[in-house]
Amino acid sequence: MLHFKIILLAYKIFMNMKNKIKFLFFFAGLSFFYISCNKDLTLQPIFFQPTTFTTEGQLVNQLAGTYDIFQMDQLYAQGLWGYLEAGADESFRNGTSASTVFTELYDITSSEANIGTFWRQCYNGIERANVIIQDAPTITMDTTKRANIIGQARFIRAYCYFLLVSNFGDVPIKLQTSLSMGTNFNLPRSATKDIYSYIISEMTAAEAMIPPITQPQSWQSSAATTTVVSKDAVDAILCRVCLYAAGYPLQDPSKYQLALTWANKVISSGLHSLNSAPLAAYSTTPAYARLFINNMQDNVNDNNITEGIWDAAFISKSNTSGTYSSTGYPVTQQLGAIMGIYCPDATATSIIGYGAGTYRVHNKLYNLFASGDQRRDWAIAPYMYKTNASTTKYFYLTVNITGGGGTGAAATAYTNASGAITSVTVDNPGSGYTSAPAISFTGYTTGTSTTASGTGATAVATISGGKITGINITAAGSGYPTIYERCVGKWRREYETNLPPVRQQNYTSCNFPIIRYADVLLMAAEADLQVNGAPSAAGVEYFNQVRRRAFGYPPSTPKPGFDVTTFTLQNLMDERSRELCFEGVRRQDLIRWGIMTTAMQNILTDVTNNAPASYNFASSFPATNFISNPAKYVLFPIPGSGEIAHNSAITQNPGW
Amino acid sequence: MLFLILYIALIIATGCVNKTPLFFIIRNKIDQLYASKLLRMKKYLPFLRNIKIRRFLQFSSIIIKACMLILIVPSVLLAQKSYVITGEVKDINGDPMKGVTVGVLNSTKPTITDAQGKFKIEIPSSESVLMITSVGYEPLRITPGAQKILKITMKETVSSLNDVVVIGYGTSRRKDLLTSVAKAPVQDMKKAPVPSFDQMLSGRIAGVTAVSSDGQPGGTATISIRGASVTQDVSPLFVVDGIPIENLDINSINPNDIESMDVLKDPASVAIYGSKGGNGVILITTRQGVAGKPKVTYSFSQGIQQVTKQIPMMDPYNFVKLQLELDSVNSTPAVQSTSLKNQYIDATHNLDYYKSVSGYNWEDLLCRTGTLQNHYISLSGGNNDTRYIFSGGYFNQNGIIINTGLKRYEGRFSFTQRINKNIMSGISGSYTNTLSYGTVPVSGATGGVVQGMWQYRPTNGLATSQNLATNLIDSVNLANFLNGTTSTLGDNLINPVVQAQNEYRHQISNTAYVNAYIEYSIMQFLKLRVTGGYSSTDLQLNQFYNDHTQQGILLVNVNGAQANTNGINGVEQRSLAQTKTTSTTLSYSKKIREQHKLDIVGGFEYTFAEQNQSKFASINIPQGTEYLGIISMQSGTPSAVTLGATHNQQMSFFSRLMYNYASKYYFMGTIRDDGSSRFAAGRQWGIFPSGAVGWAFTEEKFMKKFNPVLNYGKLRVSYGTTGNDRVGDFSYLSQYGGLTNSQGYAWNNIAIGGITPYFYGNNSLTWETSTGLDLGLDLEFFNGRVAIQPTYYNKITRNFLLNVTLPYSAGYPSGANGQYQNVGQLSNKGFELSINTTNIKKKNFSWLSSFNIAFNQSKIDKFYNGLEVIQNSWSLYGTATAWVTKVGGPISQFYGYKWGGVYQYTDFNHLPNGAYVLKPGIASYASNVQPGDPKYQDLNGDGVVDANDQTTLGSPLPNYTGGFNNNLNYKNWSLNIFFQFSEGNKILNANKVVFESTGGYAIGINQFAAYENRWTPSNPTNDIPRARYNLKGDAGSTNPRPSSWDIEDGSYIRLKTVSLAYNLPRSFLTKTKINNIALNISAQNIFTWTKYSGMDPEVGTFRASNPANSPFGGTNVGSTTAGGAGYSFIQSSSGTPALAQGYDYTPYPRAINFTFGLNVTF
Repeated sequence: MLHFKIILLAYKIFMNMKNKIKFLFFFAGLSFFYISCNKDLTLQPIFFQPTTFTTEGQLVNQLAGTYDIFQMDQLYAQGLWGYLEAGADESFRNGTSASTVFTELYDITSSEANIGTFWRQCYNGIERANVIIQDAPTITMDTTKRANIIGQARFIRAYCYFLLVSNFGDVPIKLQTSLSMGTNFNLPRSATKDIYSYIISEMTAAEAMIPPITQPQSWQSSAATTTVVSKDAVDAILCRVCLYAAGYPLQDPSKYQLALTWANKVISSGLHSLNSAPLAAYSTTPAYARLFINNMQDNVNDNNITEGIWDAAFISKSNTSGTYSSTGYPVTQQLGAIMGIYCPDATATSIIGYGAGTYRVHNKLYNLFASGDQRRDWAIAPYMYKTNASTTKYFYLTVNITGGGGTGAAATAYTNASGAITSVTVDNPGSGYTSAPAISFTGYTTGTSTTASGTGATAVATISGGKITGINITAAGSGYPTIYERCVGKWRREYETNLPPVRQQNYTSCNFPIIRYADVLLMAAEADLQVNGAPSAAGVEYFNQVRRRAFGYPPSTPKPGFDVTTFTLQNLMDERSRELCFEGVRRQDLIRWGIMTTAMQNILTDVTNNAPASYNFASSFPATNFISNPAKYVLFPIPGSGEIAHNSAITQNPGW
Repeated sequence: MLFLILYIALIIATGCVNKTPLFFIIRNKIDQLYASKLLRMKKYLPFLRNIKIRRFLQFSSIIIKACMLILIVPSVLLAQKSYVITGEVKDINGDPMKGVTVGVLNSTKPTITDAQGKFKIEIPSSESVLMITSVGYEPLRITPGAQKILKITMKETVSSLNDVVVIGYGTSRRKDLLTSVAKAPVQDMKKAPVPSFDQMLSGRIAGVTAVSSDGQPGGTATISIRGASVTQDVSPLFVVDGIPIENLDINSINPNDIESMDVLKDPASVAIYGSKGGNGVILITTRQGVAGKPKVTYSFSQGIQQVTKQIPMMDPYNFVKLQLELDSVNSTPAVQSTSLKNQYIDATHNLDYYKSVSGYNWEDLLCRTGTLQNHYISLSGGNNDTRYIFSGGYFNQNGIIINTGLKRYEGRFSFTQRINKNIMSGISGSYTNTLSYGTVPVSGATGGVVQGMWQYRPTNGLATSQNLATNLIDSVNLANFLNGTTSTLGDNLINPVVQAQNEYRHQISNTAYVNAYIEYSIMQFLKLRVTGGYSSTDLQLNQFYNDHTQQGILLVNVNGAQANTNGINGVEQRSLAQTKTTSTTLSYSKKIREQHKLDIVGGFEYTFAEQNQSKFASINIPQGTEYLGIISMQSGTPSAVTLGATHNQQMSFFSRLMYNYASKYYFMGTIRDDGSSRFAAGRQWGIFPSGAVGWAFTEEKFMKKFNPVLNYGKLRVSYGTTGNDRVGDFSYLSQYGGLTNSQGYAWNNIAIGGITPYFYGNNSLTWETSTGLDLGLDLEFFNGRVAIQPTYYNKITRNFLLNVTLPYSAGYPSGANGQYQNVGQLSNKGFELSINTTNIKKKNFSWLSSFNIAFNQSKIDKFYNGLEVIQNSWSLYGTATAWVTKVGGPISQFYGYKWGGVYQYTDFNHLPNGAYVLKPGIASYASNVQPGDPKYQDLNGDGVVDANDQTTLGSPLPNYTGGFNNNLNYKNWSLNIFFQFSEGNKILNANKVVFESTGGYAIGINQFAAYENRWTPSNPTNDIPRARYNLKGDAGSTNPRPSSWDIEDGSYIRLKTVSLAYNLPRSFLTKTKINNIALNISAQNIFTWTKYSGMDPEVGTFRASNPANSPFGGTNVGSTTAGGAGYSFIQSSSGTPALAQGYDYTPYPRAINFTFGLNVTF
């Protein structure tokens, strides 16, 4: 109305004036007009995604963005099973210099990029979850769906804090979106104790909002899957959180009971059991391997929700070539490739799939396995591939048993640092032997060379009752491959089902098991031991289920004579390493048990005694570094250039 | 009347010092007074009723307009009749003067004298003042009185006081200036044989620096005025023919087309440009037609370019010696000793054999003699009513690196037409097509031809499998890659010549400017001018990498691993930036009762700018079609399609009042009220006032006795505020990343695109404001023979804008990790001195000099939000903080370790097993340091050299800069000699880190010859560390660290331009139609006196994209290539951030130019 009046008035004045004055007033009027009309110059942005959510579809996309952090290199695409974990006593990164071995292994400054990015990805997840928690209540949508999604966000946020607190100690708790923080991003650290309380209460709340694993969630467009966080996943992780809170550094023993409660919730749900048989297509593989084959196959042939509880999901759709080029799918998972069976064939049509064999196995772990434990030769690759377009397996060290009239005998040979055969254990005595079979050894080292390595070892077998009772070394020889040659074999690319069928040299679509039922059983057994002082019958049963399956027995059927009647904490620690090696829990286990320093000293001794010179540097590098200052290295540094430099309220961990 | 002026003065004064209670009280009183008047007015003016009075009063600019109306109305009523006057103008020799402008004061209808020096003009009254002006002559003012026929004699002048200076929405005589406005010596500048004006500007004006990053053809300099702000973009605002252009394509302006260039330096003069002028303003006026016979000017120049300085590299003997040294006991870990040795030495070839091997000099192979060619033609003419100029130019440069260069085609016109006695109109336009092509040295250690030129091996050794001259990659790792030992090429060693020959990189910019105006003289002293302008820059970047380039190489090893997964590939990127501007001004200029001179201008301006960008790439192009070049992109796989667009608008109201009493007492006040869409509603508008006073004390009676010596003196003081809104168009808004797969998740193998927070805006973002005092003296001695201008200034910039890096805990994805904030406060203090002298002025010989020097000191006063330090990293082999910006220091300081020499045997205990272990008490940074490793000082004395021992290592900012120009004329000869200098600027010579090896040496890489003097057991020098195989870092790291060893004094004096011209005598030409022929030879970058060891001390190769300039503004999640390709691409001023100056790494070599030229006028 005002504008109309102005125009009208301007017109009247204009018509009543002399020419020149007319002009002036017109000009002046125009100025007034502009001033009074156009004070707000705001333009609408082009090419912009709004910062408000209006539909539940967007919310699901935001949830996808939140989960996205799990497929980052520093989390489950390598870091948490690879370079951050290789600083324990199961695997090491092979290389000749600090940079190829990875400086993450306690040879770093506070500005180390991978540590910084790990921290950053966790906070990215937290922020993305914060956005969901803030915005979901404002959207008109189904209330169950909303609760499901908020539950997911609250769990992931708490899980990120769990990763942070266990690796960095005190960290800032940020529960508001950055958008609402204005320009002040200086957040102080909260105490570890408070963070654990927060995690437990948040996860407990989220637990009630999320349906069980068998029931697809309302926002999900697919069937039940381990790649979505379920009630079972929350229960299982809560158990893990409680055990961490009960151990070093917090040492709150009351949390053992709570851990047991949550573990029992998973166990008593009746939804879970250990895989007792392999997939039909791979009938010769052990039951133990089924879950890992499933992971490698993206759980396509078996949705894996009995033993599997929560997996990080990966796909492999090549960004650089083929149908999916430039689609932007993250191709990040290096499981199977960098940590996997060695295979030099890097072509897109590789039958086996490229394996760099970077992550190698410690002698100590290999020796932890008893004869007949099927897990050893699955977790630790007994063979490798050597040439392109060939499926010929080259076994690291074979004890050849020939002649003697019998069949079925098998044995394992052990070597020392110089590659001499030090002992041979009979894994399977075979049957029908009428005379001592001839014993010989064949060895290959990791690499493209197809020339056998090792010479001069001889041995004789003794037989009794048609079975081989022993193999005695008569000449130790030298140059046979050591355990340090062996790669991690848990996830094998030869089982990879590529979607689409184009192999990426360095990347796979292997899902990563963040937590699985065997872990829950062992955690329950451990909590039971700690709560009761000695394991109860239930605790012993959980422990036995894991052992039975490892030796090929039905997990839930008692096996008198084989079953143990009790176990010590040391037994449990070793069992965890055998069952869960390379699955990203060992380092934190050692820390919470308070034996990290001891373990690293042990590994150093082991390396000194058993590692050949060419592996001495790589296999001892983390332990040497760690022992130089255990109090410092038990926690990662707060990222110097990424956090300390820009957050004036934060402090650094001791020693950094 | 006086009351009004007083009122305006008070508004301005209180605007500037509004914390002063006295002014505040007075202002309030006056506000109340006016408010009551307005209240009364409201009864009669119904439309005012709804406007809040308080708010009304805030907009002082409107008040000024109202005042103007009041001033104008009586004048309108006093308009009078006119007279006709005729006359004749002669010089002191009595020769008639042609082309002299005769105008009437405050009138729009000047005339010019004919060939006989005669003129005829209509004047409004016999008391009107006639203005008679001619360039190079003292202007005259004559009041004809009763005379109808005038005889006028003009005197040649040496004083520049009457030069006309463009001051924004108007002009002024230099004499009447109250602020720091400098006129660039355009005629002298043009003598430099260079393609663009930025390369001529350095050292010409006190306080204006133009530092080019290196010698790249088409690269433009970073121009900064009186010390850079920390802000996003240090470049000044350019105003071309009255149209403000925030992101000028410097290459689009042919220096030949520039008539004048004026620089507004202090806040008071800049205030008329308000928010846009925070970094200063450069006003460019292009050549306009001159009335008279059609005149054709043709100029031509042809020249050559040569590298100014080569850095000697190791010859084959010394190179092989270095390789063999890696076998020495000191190399840890010992590397490839046998294979390395076998590469160079066998039974028949020992080290001495290499004394006879000549080897390759890659610098000679990569560089060539460049050429420059320039043609320019213009046609101008017109009469009193119509004037025109048409010009066209062609420039072609073949750069000194093969396959690089610059080509420019340019056309311009300007046409003015008087429509009737009251209306003038004009239109001008230009179109420029610029092609700069060829390789660009890269800032990181990722290859690039200049890096290749230095690091490529001088000899192949004994290997015959590789032809060093023609193979693209020579890597010690190449064999390992091919046989499958490694799956990547590792540190690529690129053959610089093959790379440069094959790299296709065309940057084409098409820039058009059109602007038109219409000017209506409402009365002779009152003009209304409406201007409209349009500019567009269409920028296209085409890149194509065939299989002979590092980026397109098709190597596959025996295992099938690809060295380059993109295969042969190409990228096409386009951006179109368009700006539309309109401004309307009303100007009043009148002398009242002879002594009172009043100039008022008021107006409004509106600008709308938009930018669109698109990019697509094509990868894995079949080798069979690569011969087609960039066209073969269509046979590859499409990839990386990105689109982006953005826009912004600004609206401004401004007024300026200039008053002087008898050219003795001066007053000026300016207010601009600016709104920008770059801030959130409510924070868009800012008021930028300024005021200035001046006293021409030599006009006082008591000073007259000094006149023979001091003929003119003026003291001037100004104080004002300007703003800066150079942030991204939507930096205040938060964004979520687009729905992309790369940030999504695949639950149960079904990929769901993710939405994630991408960029956090800052609602409270607002103007950066600079408030400054400028105190100057204008002095002229001996009738203008000596002119001296000392100026002191002190500018405080508050709320400076910066993209602040947030802590990781803020939860950003990788990439965008910043938020634009008003970060802190800084100050720039300085002193400038310009001296112009006419040393000799004889009939046949003259010598004129001008000298300027500028001292500037910048200081960060404070940061807000708890920020303590801003760090900037180099990106060499890995990244390390190399610059810091801290409170109390200058805006940029180098940062790193203090060099402590080289560890010597005496620092170690020699153990029985042969190992060297540091003696207790000797600090080190790594457990494995050995004799010969670099030593850094343990500044905090804790026994360990670590991050806590880093310190500031000097500033890249100079203490002072300046220039010294000389013009000597003898008969028809004229000689121009120009020196430029800079003192106290430090340079981070990162080349030394890589090519003189600060501790680590990657095998197979050639080094500077200086490295021959490295530490060896037999040469225990303390200057250069030993050769240790460790990629590039020292013993403790593979990442080199900045230290004082890399930082050098970059002070220099440069003989920048020498030009000798000869005008053919008139007698030669009388029989032809040619008016003038001038021949010249000139040279640029002739000699540099400096202690700096690098190629050139004028350097700044930190090529970081400025996210504020990206139209994408960070909307493209996962697309890192899009960022920074916004207008920083056009305006390379933004390419070198103010915080990371003085970085020298593999610059494009600077060239010395020699040209021969010819100018013909007919």
